[in-house]
Amino acid sequence: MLSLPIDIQPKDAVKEIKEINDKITKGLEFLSNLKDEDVDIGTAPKETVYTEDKLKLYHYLPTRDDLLGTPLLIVYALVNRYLVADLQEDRSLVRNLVNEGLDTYLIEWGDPAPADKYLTVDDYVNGYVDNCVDFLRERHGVDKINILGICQGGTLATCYSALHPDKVANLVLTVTPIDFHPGWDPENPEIGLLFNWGKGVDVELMVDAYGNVPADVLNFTFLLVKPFALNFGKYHDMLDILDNEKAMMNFLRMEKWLFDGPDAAGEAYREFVRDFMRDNQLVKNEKMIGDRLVDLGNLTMPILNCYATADHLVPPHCSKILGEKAGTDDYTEMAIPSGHIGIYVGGKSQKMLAPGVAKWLRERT
Amino acid sequence: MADWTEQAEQMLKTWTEAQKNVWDSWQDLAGRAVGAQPKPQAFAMNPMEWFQQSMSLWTDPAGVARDAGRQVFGSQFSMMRNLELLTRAWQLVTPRLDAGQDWRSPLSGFTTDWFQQITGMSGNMLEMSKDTQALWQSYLGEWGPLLKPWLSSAIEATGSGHLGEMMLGGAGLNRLLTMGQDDLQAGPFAGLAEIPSMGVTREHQAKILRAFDAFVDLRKVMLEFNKMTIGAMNKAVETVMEALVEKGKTGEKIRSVRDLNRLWLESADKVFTRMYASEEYLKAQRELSAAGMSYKLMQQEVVEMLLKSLNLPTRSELDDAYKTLYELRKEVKALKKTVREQTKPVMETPAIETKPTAQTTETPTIEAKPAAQNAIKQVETKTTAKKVPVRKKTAAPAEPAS
Repeated sequence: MLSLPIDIQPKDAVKEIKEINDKITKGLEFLSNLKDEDVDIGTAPKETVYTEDKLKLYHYLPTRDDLLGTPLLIVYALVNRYLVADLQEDRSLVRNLVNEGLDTYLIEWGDPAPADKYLTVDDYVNGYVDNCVDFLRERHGVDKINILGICQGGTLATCYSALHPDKVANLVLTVTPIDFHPGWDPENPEIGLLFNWGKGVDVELMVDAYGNVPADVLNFTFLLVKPFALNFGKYHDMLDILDNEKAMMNFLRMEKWLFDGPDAAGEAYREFVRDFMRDNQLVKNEKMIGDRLVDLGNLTMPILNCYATADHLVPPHCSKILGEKAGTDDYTEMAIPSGHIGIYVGGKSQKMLAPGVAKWLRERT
Repeated sequence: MADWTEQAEQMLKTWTEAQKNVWDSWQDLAGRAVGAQPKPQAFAMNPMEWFQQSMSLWTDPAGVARDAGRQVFGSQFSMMRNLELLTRAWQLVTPRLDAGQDWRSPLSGFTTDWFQQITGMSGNMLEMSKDTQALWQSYLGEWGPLLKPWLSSAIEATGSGHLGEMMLGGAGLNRLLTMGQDDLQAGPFAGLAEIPSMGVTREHQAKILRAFDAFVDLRKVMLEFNKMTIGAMNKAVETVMEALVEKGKTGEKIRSVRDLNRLWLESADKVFTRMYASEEYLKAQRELSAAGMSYKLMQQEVVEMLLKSLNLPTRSELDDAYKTLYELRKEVKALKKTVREQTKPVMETPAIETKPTAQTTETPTIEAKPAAQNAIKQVETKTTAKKVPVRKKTAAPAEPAS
């Protein structure tokens, strides 16, 4: 006869529930004294140096004298907010870059309103990004600047660099999808799942129905990849930190970032899902932006391609394919042992990503 | 045999009683936090609602802290429910295992009932199709008063217990009766909107009925999707049972509720992720998404009709205005760029130099030293530039910075 493998004795259950109870009580007393603004993210000192429509170009205030002469422009994704690059003081890509002596700028896209629903990828790449680049070239008196792309922002930065190689000195990419068809690994079905879903979505109907695609819809899709772990599991685990204010604040910052994304401008979203995710035009050198072909062979500037080894959203090979396609003869890869988000907020990567980027850039400037 | 049944029952009882202590403490906590609070008895009726009311009193109503607190609290409920589910499932499985009988089929029936009970889903498609009036009323529930001018006869017919055959006809009924069946595409599914209608409200009625068609289609694919989800839940429970059997054989014990819960969450995620990657799921997801969006578009058509009747701007009209705005904005930007290029001074002006500032954690964020409307104006134009040398190097080897 099988014995019951669940052996939770009454005294153990009482003890466990008491512990949970104590933690919840403590944790909620702490939570009940918090205001939303106490959960501070994006605190690295900065100034706005350029605006256009809803876009703001931030300049992060330098902390040392020996700045690298060429400014670095960070291009963030169109989904979620840039704040993951500056989540908290000790987990901040931008602070780390600034502390490495890089004169760092970042584009915040702002929240698309219904009136922005017609913005296309062309408007983002050849409009906003190009205007920011021109602004920085003028501001710093240089012909070319350095660009760092984050996730989808890396895809946009890649397109931009291929279309305007004369304005880009060095291109740094982080967890950037270039090949959107990751295939399917039966042993690890979650790897590349979002891209596989994206291929099947009737994005035409979706954008027609929504206009701008709501952030909640995008969030829901992210959560669906691991519905139990992401909707329940992490809150179970949160019990372990409920009585630890520092850990709780870190947790809340991440929650704030996760659930406070902007809507996605409809036409750009349609174009991105259709041309990049479904038809995989970028890696095939078939993507047209405006009236010009994005030819990865035009990427003749030095490229540093940083990927996360445990990235299930953008599997490493979806990024690394760039090494075979880019026209440059100065191509470097940097592997960070983390997941997709961990590359920016993980403890280990704080000591790896920004220092690695800075070292690589200094060697080329 | 009675041994483990008793043990399982005892365990559930203990856990439930212990959990009740948590709720009591919560109510104490709520009492301390604020004077006014949701009534304690409300907790027994709907603990989650009670909790949400309490939290909204304690914390910033829009705050991330409240959301996180709610999630923690919700996770306690799910933990308790999972414990009960798995224990009951184990009670069902083990006698059959001991007797060498099939345990998967009865388990599947049990978990299907369980999840239907929790989610309020009706698993019986025909139950729903028998009640076409309910579906029609449900649809009208969203619109009833607004659509009255155009649908008064139908609403009266439905209200009086008749479905209003003049509108739905046999086609609509067939459409509903075949919900959940495999040969959906082959049946006589002529759209409701195709049923001829007459009079000045004809076009309006057609829109309303097209929306009803989309409403029915959406319900249909939702039921299919739900069936698939419940199938995955069944599989997940089955997977946990298999894991427990293995542990039972080796004598390995799970000694805390949280460990059991972890086993459940991990197993369920694995099953679901595998399902997500299947063609069957991708098809169901596509159909659900398309049906949802189609219904949304049909809803918008009906809303447009209502807005027009009130002489209010419609979404289509706003979209036209947005498009014009977008095109004008582009044109203005292009013109400005051209003008700027043409008026660029020949003389150089020095580039802005960035002064370093000391880093301090106390430094407040300097926001929006507002750039000029068009920020290019803000910086004196400058045409030169120091050349940034681009060094060509051979490809460097992969550089794991570890």
